[in-house]
Parts: sequence; C-alpha cells; structure tokens
Amino acid sequence: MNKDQDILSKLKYQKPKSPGPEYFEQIAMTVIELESSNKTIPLFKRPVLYIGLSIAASIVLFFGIYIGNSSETGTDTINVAQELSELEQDQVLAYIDKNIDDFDVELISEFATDLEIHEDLIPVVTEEVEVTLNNASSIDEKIDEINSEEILQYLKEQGIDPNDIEELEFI
Amino acid sequence: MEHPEDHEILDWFTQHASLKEKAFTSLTSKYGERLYFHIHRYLKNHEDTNDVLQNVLIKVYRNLDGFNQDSSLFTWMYRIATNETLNYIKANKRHQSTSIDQGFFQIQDQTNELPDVLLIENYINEAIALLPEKQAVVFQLRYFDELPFAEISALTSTSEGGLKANYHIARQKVEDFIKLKLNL
Repeated sequence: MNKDQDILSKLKYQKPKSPGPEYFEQIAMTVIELESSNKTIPLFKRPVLYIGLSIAASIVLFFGIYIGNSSETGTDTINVAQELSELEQDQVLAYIDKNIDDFDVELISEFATDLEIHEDLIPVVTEEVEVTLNNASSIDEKIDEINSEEILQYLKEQGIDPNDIEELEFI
Repeated sequence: MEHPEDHEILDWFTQHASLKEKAFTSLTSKYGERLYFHIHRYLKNHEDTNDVLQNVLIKVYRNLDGFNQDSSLFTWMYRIATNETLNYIKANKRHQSTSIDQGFFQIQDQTNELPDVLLIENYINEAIALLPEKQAVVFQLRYFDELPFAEISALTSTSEGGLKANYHIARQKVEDFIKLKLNL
C-alpha cells in the first residue's frame, strides 16, 4: 500500500437493513407516551398535598442554605422554628415562587414526609407574589461566583460528561 | 412516501396541541431512518441503536418547541444523534456490546492490501469527530449514505455548490488523517 492511493475509494460501506416504517411509527408513539406520562403539572393544577409538600421542603431547603450562610454567628444549636420566624413571609414566598420548579419531587417528599404542614401555608403559594427577595438573589450570586473549573471538577467527581451539558447550549 | 415540509411539522408541533402527535410521528417518519443509519454506523447493532434513537427522539420531543432554526431541522436532529451516540459509547466503554450485526465495510479492490478494515473504520470515525459540523454531516450523508447532493441540500438547507466544496475538503481531511495514522 502506498501513500498515493485513495483509501476511501477502496472501501465500500454496506448500509444495515432498515427496520421498516412500522418501527419508526412505533418508536415515535413510545416517545409520545413516555413524554405524556412525564408531563409537568402546572403549579396551579397541582394537588394540594403536592403544593404543601413543596412548600415544606422549600422552607427546609431554604432554611438549610440560610443557616449555611449564617454559620459565622457561631451558634451551635439551631432552633428551626425560631430561625424561620425571623424570616419575613414575603421573603419565603418569593424564594419559593422563584425556585419551586427546581426541586425534585422525590427529594421534596423525602424531606417533607415527617413534617406537619400547616393549612395556612397551602393557599399562600397560589398568591401572586411581587416581592424581590434579597436572600434568593444572594444565593444566585453565590452560584455565579463558582468558576468553570470548579464546575468541571464537580462534574468529573459526579461522573457527568460535560459534553452532555454543552449539548444544551445549541438546543 | 410524501412527507410534510419541516415548517409545517414545526407549526403543528408548536402551535396546535391537537396536532402535536401527528407532527412528531411525521418527523420521525421523515428523518427516523436516516438517524437510525447514522447511529447504527457507530453502534453496529439494533438493540443499542434502538436505545440511543429513543433517547434522541425524547430530546427532540422535549426541545422542538425551542428549536431556533439556526440550522435545518435535520441537521439539528443529526447533531443530537451524534452527541447522544458518542456519549453512549463513552458510557458503555467498559461493557461494549459484542453483538455486531455484520461487518459494514468491505474492501472493493482486493488487489491492494489494506490493513484491518475495522481499524480504518475507527480512524474514519476519529477523523469525522474532528471535522466542522457542516463537513461532518455532508461527508457522512455522501460517503456512507451515498445521497445525491440535491437531496443533501434539501436536508441541510445548504446550496449544492457549498456542499460539494465541503465534501471535497472533508474527504481530503479524512483521507489524510487515515494515512497519518497508518504512517503512510
């Protein structure tokens, strides 16, 4: 074999047999069924319990982040009720309103199963909230402060392929 | 078989909830086979190809609403299929499937001694991965699928002249890459 010969022209690619039109019809229907069953329920249509669980879990998650940010106070014992009572309701609602769709339902259920959900909390989530929450913004700012290398390192540790994420950019 | 135009499919899918299912089945019927061949060329068996194709179609279904039309619908789907296939290969490297339907490359000219065909096929795939997207797409549709430029032009919304130039450059790059790898 010499360097002048055209290797590509010496090869012939044999296409596999097509599975046929029925196969493509079937796979399309499978995808439609899968996606229909996974459809996100709009917030206002979600069952009361789901909303309740979401609120409770959001508060727990928010509180966790809030405490994390306040760790320099040196308080050893954390009184959840007291810390929550110190937060403005508008702040809590604005945070929930902004982030509720980011939470994983299973995670929420896990956090919330042992919590007693106060009935007063259920209707408030459907209220229109037009409050800017400083704490929520500061959380976003903190996320922005994480640099790309740290993100890549995290993805590596978690075994996530960055190509998967890059793909989102052009979709 | 006559397929609806891309703009019709997009309109049905994004503007008419009642036609969403029809839009998606039309889209799959129109481009599914091309995507299937494309994925199969890497994975070489129906089972893996089926898994990846399903994932590709799920991504298409979820993101079609936000398709920005920077490229043709086919090119966009082809890109998703490529990424999904390469990710699948990476994720399954440790337990590579031994089920290969058949050898898909054959040597046409037996008078010339070529190294292992599978080795060359791997080099071709490596080279394609290095090509710019337009060149990669036209090379694959022309070299593997043997589509006429007019058809590739319709699929990719690119002029035939541009495609011919891109194909010529891509083919040369792939050829050079293989020779480099073979120390020729």
